[in-house]
Amino acid sequence: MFLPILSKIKKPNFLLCLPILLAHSTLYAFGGGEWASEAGLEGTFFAEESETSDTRSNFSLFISTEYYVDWNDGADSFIFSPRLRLDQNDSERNTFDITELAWVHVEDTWEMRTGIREVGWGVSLMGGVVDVINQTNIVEDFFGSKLGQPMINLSLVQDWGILDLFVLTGFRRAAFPGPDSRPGLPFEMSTNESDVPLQDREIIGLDYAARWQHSWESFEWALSYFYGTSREADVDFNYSVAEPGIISTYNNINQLGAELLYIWNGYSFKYESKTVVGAKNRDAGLGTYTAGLIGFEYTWGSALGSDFDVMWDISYMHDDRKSSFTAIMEKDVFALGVLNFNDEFDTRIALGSIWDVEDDEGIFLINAERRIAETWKVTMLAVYFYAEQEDTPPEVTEQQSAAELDRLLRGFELFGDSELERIIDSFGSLVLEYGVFSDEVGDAVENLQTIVDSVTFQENNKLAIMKDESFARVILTHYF
Amino acid sequence: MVKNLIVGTLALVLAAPVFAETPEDKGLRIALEGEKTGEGWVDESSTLKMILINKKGNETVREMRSKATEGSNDDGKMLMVFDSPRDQKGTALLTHTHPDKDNDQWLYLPALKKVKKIASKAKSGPFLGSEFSFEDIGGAKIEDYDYKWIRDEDLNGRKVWVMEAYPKSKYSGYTKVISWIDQEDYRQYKAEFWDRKKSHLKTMTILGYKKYLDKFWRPAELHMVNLQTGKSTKMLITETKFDQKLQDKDFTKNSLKRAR
Repeated sequence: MFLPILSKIKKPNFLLCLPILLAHSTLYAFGGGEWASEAGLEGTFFAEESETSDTRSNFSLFISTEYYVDWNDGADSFIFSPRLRLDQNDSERNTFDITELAWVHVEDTWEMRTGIREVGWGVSLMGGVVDVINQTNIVEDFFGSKLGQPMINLSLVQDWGILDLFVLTGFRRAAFPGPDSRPGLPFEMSTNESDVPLQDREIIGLDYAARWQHSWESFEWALSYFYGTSREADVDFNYSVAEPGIISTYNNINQLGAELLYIWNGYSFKYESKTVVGAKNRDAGLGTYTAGLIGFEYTWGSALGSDFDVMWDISYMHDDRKSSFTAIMEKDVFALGVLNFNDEFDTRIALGSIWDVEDDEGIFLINAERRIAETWKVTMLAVYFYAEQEDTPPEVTEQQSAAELDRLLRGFELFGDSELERIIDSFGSLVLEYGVFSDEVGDAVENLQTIVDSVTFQENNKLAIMKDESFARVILTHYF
Repeated sequence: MVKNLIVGTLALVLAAPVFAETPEDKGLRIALEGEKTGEGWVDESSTLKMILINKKGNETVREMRSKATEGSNDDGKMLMVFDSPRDQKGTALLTHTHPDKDNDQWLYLPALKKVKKIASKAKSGPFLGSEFSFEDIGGAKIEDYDYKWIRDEDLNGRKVWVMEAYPKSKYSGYTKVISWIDQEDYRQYKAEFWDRKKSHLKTMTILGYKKYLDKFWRPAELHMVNLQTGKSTKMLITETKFDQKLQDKDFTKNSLKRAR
């Protein structure tokens, strides 16, 4: 059944499979360890064509595995987990990653974890506020799976809590879905290293982090600190008039994070916040911003005398950045309800929404899963993007003259004083200075305008960027 | 009237050695003695296999491993790791029991690489879709119930006490649990669970007892039958081991993350 799909894959980079096979045989020689793998087929269906892609359905295959072996009575262990995805239509979603390749050594009061790993910080199910160690992969998974992060992590286990110290290396850029991807962004964001003026520290590439966690009675808390390259990309213009393009850039940041969990009478109260001090490239100061989340979770067990339980999680998120590309939503209510059937198939239905209370737009989702045989599971996901369609700004169409371009670029100046507007301004100045006009410049202007539209201009309408991307997805997974 | 009162009082005084212990007292005494007899196991590990059987006889298998330390004063610790079904593999549950307050529980979610503290007080829900509920599985304390001895009985050639336990918590799914307990070594052979509507919900039979360290009886099989739904669950316990030299460090949030 997989064969017809395989033949449709545009760039089936089978070389990507080699590392997995190789690792398989090498580690098999190791002996003693165990493998746990999953493989599956994912079909995604879109209600509408997007402005940049007419793909209405898309299939992809994925496989991931985990090898684990321990010795010295469990004091030493080794883990290896690669994953591979092959996509029917979108070469950007053909991805191979090693999520984990690490050696863990455990002593009475400390642990040393060396290698590529995945680390999750934070008390919220929504995640994202204080979580900073791994780069997110939004291309493969719209809600973000993580990319492996090379590190040395010393974890001290003491009476006063657990203290984790990290030295991180091998910073990885985020990949963004492009105009051909679905769900995707309506413009191409380059992740090509050569497009980006490399900072020295990106080459040396050491980041540092620490997290102290402790608990007392019904309280659990953590304080964390991160110094290094932000995992969050910002959007920039490459300042090339000859080959204009939109690029992602990264700032050096200092991040101070706090997490608190309080359990009372079946409720979990959650709080996360961070203060980020960062300096943007090119002297365009980003300054300091804070973001936070506060919420609660409650599980209604044996609802109405049934075997079902219902879990509620309602949180309010706040991000005080005004014009950041990544902070597309600023004041949001996140609500999640999960109905657990507690049956032998682990059937579960989740309803979720993220609602921007300031701008009246949001994302709604339904996720349902059920095991259909001992080693097979089916997952269904529907995601709906809601954004008011109003005040559509004038679009940049075919530019006929430099004068029109001039007028348009000058028009951007009206917007104000955000970081993005400065980008537009400098782009405009460059174009005016060199008097260059080409299709590429036209495209670049369009792309820039798309971003500005979504981030700055249409303040009530940021999610409009995703308005055609609502989708339904079915995933069939086999575990072996 | 007065005479009757005197006779009554006399009868009470005379009967004191016999009646001093009410059925409630006796029930509590048996429970306490049973607990005391079971003490001193220090640490233990075992492999569990649950076979969930539905009305039609279709089976679903779940496998897990558990290890536990007894601790002192009821502050025991337990770690349970799930092996199958395969989509649940790697999930792990850490429990710290406390004598005088709610137990602490943390769940490790391998997909998120996160440890989540569980707040739920609900104990009556099914344990992993089985006919066992969370309150059947563990962490029950003596003081969670009121007790009453009902009668003595012969069961399969052994002398047993039949006694009832009444959960105090409003979160319990039961109004009454009837137990059959060996008078010699406090082994429990059978239990009947009565639901909130006071009707007979489930019956558990406990089989295949084996003695470890010359002192501790452990069963090889628990068989729980739900009389109302016709579903049942067999829990098979294998590889029971004591004296594993388990320490507190094996039961921290760090060890939960790397539990295998």
